[in-house]
Amino acid sequence: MISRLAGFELEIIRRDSHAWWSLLCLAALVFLSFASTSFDAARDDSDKRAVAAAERARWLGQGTKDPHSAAHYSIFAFKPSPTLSGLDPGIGPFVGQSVWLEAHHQNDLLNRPLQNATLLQRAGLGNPASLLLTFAPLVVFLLAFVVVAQDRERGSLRLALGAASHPSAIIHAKALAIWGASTGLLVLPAVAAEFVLAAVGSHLSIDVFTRLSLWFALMAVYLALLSAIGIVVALRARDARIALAMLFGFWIVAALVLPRAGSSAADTVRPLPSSQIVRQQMLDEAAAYWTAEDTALHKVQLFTQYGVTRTDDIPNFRMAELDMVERHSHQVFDRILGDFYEKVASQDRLFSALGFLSPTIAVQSLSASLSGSDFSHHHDFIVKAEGYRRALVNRMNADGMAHRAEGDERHTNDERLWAQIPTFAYTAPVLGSATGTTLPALGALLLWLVGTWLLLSATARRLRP
Amino acid sequence: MIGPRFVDLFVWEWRQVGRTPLLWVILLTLAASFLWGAGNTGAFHNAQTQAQAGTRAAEAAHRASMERRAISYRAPVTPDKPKVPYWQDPTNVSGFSQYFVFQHALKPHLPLSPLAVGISDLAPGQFEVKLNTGFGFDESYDFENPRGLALGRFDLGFVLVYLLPIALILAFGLLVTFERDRGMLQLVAAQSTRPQLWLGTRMAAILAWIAPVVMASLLLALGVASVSFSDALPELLAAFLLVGGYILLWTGIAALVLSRMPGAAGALGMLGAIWTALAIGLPLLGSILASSVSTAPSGIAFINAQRQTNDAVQTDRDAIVRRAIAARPDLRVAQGDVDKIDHATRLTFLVPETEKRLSQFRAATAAHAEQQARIAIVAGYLIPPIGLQAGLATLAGTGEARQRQFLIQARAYQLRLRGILYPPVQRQIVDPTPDSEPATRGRLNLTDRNILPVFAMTDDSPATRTAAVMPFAVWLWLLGGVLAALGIRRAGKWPPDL
Amino acid sequence: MDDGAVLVLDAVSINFNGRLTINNLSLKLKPGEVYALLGPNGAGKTTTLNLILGFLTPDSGAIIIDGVDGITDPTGARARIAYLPETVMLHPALTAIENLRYFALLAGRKIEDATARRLLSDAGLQAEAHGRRTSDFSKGMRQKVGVAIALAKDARLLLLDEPTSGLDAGAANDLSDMIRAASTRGMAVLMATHDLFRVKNVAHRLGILREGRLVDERDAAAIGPVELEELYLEKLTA
Repeated sequence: MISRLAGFELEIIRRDSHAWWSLLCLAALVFLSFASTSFDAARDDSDKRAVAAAERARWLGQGTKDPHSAAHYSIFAFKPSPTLSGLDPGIGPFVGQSVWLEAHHQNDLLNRPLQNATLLQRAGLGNPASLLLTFAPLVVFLLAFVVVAQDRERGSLRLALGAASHPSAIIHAKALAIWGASTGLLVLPAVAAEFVLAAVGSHLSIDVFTRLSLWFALMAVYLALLSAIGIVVALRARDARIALAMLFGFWIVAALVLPRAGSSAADTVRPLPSSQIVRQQMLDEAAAYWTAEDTALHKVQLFTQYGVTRTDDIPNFRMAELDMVERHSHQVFDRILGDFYEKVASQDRLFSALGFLSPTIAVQSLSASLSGSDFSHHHDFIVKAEGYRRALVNRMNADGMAHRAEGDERHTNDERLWAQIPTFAYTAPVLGSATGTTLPALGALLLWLVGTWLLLSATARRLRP
Repeated sequence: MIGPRFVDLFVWEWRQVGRTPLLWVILLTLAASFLWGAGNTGAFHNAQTQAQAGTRAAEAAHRASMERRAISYRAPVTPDKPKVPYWQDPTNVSGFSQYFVFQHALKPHLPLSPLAVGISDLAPGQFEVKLNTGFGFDESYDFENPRGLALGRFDLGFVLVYLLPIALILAFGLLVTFERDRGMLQLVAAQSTRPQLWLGTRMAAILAWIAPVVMASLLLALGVASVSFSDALPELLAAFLLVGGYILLWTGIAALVLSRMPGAAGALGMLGAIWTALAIGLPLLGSILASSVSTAPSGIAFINAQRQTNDAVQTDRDAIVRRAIAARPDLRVAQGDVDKIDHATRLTFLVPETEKRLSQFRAATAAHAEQQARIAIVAGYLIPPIGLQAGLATLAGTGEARQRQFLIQARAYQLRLRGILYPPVQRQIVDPTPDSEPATRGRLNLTDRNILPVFAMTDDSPATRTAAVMPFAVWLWLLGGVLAALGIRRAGKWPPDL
Repeated sequence: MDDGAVLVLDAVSINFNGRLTINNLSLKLKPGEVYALLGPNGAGKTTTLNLILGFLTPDSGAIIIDGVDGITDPTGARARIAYLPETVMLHPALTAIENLRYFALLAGRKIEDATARRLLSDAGLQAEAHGRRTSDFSKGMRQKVGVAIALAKDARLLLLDEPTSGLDAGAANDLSDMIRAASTRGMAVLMATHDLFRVKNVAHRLGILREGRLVDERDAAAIGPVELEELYLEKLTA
């Protein structure tokens, strides 16, 4: 019975030109942004693949040289677009897309797509997730207003409740209609298109499929709880005007103000040290160019390490020094950057916990995580790229150390050594392995869902003609 | 006389509107948002200023350490303390040029910076300016949590550009439609009041509360964020002019919508749709359109070009250096000694050559940026929220134009440093400073290392900044005035379905 | 054409969506005359009032209110009309006095509290309610404030739309008294109503409207209550 009633409610929505066109306009914007974002991601990935291949060819074809010079020459690594970047590019436009994996340095990822963006480009940065998160509440509340508040104001709801054998079925049908219309038009087309793109592009793995399904479920849950909120407010408010004001207010606070304010608050409560401090700390503790005094100190350390008293007793003193300094820098980077990135994760955890204040925040955190476009996933790339760099530099240094060279003499090698370094191929983490920061958001979303569902049920039970 | 006088009705409406709790909820929320936004941005900019102070302190520490070492390297060579390699020797002019120059270009914040975060969270406010980095400086940025960048900061600009219109929409949409929704409008209309007068006085009364409270809250918020009003008076006045125009614009839009006397649902629905279109719909379409008009040169492709060029220059390096020396009458005698030139000295010839070869990519990027900036200016007039954002950022000193000036000046600074250091470095090729007797640990061909100027950004005057936003302010006032007039004119008759 | 009439409707027609809602309606009210416009729902009673108030513009015909052309100068015409809708809705946050002062102001009259109290008392509202917010006023009480608003305007023509609908017997009687008092002061009254019983007691003339046409018109004194009911039913079913 509920589904048939929901059919009537859907028809009411369809015949209300304001509600229907609002829904269609948002659906069009969501799909347009999906197409634009997907197109950009595909173009960028294509560029990255081409340049990565050129980099590999350059690495292999760099000729005969000192392995440490090869480690300096090294390669650039490129971060592929996240799994579901067409649906939610998340932090993608604001994080670097390439990193130079050279000796001595754990370089920042550069080439942030919006590094030099104009305010128009930044303001026009719409994507399906951000549009849904920000504007779906407005449209869903408009639908709730049309099928509940106006129905109530006209008195037709009272008539329907009087005629119904199960009054609560009417409310559930209205909820189903609002949820069905919004999910079917706002979420489903983009998800279906992403599915097709993934299938055509042959990267529809189980992980991608699971992420896509969960992303759809997440947005469906978001729309469901918004529908419930809309209906409860429309039923409980004193009149339609107050319902409208309350829903408008909820939208402003939950979807517009709190995500930004919460994000700023999380970053203020758990501040990051400035990049200047971090860079200076790394420079002070692991300088790429060391002083003559440092060299003297290194000599003492190497003598102790090798149990010798003369540089000539170390097969390749220069490479041994480089290797020691390199390995020391790894510890320094791990400590300083490890602390730094932990602080970033801590900010994200706090932000995700603010999902208890606004479902938009909870869904925002979860959407980026499911799409593989949050900082945890980005950090995974940083770690893996750095791991690759260290393996490459260590291998080069090891080759140097394995060959005796004295004074200004240099051991050299060629493609046979370069080819021993595998191609950099990044595999994004599977679902669940980089989701720690979003667990509070998951809890918050479940609480919102249960809370709104209980509220809706209680409101439906209390209804009297 | 038929009907009431404007003044009488306005005074009544003004008193009644002022008694409405809803208005005060809206205004207090807005004022709190102003305070939080300005404080938030002020604190953020303070942190950036502190980071810049940290950079200057690091430069000073670097200089002190370098001088200590320079003094100690005057000592004669001993078996325990051999000659210092040139790349570790600050007394060697070529070593100094490549390995010891530690200078920064800093973009200080302007007095009114808490007004808008602009691009200050995204674009770097400081660069290390190395002598031999291509085109001024390496791309770099100060890390901000990218989640915050993606969501946008809760700054005063956000409140003014996005939340202020919503406050106006709520106030007008709910306070003007009250009679309609309550079924009173027929009784109102049956008195001898023209709808234009009724709508005009009601909206004017609402505006007469909102505009002063907004301006006062703005002033208070900026004061709390430690803005020195005397240092930023012209910009502050221009900001008020912009905000006033923006309020008038949304009043005009509201007047157009409310002229047909809709209920709250109709009014809020239509005004909400207009807000959504201006806040996200048009910027999204505009951005897509702007990108399709001119696709940004790929940063990834630039890496490829850079690597190819560097490889080519390295392969050709001796020939390039030889050609460069041959082209210089003062160095020509050293053509045969190219093999003896150290890496840092070679760079003084190779880097300009690399820049030359990459200049077309750089020019394409710059041309694209300029085109996008021009599009953004036009878009600002067509999409007022974008224009206001840009205007506020200009006044705050966090806009794109000032960032471009900063980048240009940083590049000029690098060229200035090269102008100071390249000649003595290259002179060593033909006229090397005689080695010390007895041999010292350092080369001692650079005795004064305090020869590099400190970067100081030259800013436009406050009058220039203010003048830059004036056309847009005038546009807002004109547009707002015309829309308001059209709205009032459109309300010529009471709707027939009262 | 008006020869001292307060209201003249001359061959007024208006159609909505191709259907003549008011068809060639002519009507004339003299000062002090109370005219009851009878008719079922949809007969065009409210449309007639809206035409007189200038909310609707007729397709043809003339509307003159106290010598002012209601079509070309609706605001000027409304200055001569007091109107009492079927359900008087007031600002709930304002007191009865404040509501009265507000609506008087809209009519271009500034009145003091004392005047407002007098008008409210004249309209039958108890003194203790004058200073109370109207949010908890009954329909009858709101109707009395509406009457006071009408009185405050000191208009030449009073329009009443279903004035007794939803009122209890006492409130309805009070309203009848008010109409008589207005008539005595020379005000012309046009009331659109279903209430045949009360019409008979207050109106001087009766008109029956059917599908936008005035199908009958009688002197109220010349017809008894039973005859009136029979006539009404006959005209509606004819």
